[in-house]
Amino acid sequence: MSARRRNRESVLRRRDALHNYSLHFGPNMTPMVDIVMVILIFFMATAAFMGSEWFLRAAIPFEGGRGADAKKPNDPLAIPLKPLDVLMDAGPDGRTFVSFLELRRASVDDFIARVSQFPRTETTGELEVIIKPTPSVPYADVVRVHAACDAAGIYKVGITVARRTDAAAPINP
Amino acid sequence: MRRRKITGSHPTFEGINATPLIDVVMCLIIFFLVVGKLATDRGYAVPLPGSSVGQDETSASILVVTVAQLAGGRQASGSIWDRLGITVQADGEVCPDVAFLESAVRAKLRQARDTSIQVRGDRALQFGQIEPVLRACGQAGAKSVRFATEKEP
Repeated sequence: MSARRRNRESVLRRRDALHNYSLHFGPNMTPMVDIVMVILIFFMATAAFMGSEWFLRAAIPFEGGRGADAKKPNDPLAIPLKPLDVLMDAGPDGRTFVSFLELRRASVDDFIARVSQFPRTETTGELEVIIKPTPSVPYADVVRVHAACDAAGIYKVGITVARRTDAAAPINP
Repeated sequence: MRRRKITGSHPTFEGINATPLIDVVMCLIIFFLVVGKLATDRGYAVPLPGSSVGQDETSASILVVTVAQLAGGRQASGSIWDRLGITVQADGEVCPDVAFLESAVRAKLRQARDTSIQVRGDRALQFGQIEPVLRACGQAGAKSVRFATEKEP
């Protein structure tokens, strides 16, 4: 009885961390798990910061003339394509009207439908579209029109700005 | 022949194993460097307009121009921006006036000609509130800007 008890005590005494560690075999996973956890958190954080957005490129031509930075076509005999104007205007109720080609004061959705029917030819990428919004047009609608042009394969999009530098333009509250 | 004891008391203490500590600290340093850079450059967090098309940023040199609504305790500048109801930041720094923004854009373009000017405008703004910012960029010599938009399916 006493010998059995002594044996049991010695087993209990040896059940400590170092003893268990010395009995452990196989690769030590702890440092790997530490680092994998940190990397996981790192990628989750960066994804939250930068994952959900992209960019629409727009030239900023000034009103009245294309200025000195107009690019010449490579072929000197080519007929220069005339930039297409997209006139945007906001009604008193906040609705946005778009005039483009044959569309006269149409809605933004009509414009998107019209521009999506644009024939995709090799010159589509050479087309230039100048968006001319009035100050009261919502910025989100300008971006929608710009995105519709990009989706139709027109990549040379400009948003015109007035040349004046003085007082602020009138803003509807 | 002496047998090495593998159980029982541990052999002599040989100092702390610093390798895992260094690994983790290195990862944390890189993490905070990257997050710190991302967090400071952006200025106010503004709700961006949505778009179903767009390109990713490829330019190495970037100037982030944030156009936020002047509300919720945001710092007023006492200039034309106040009348427009906006506050403008260039790389996270509040622009007191148009001239400041112009000089910021000009300085960045002088550093790198292909600097990409990212305009982060609030989706609730009107074009008249964005236009002075675009004009300042244009007058500082920028040929184009990139409008930041939220990805839509």
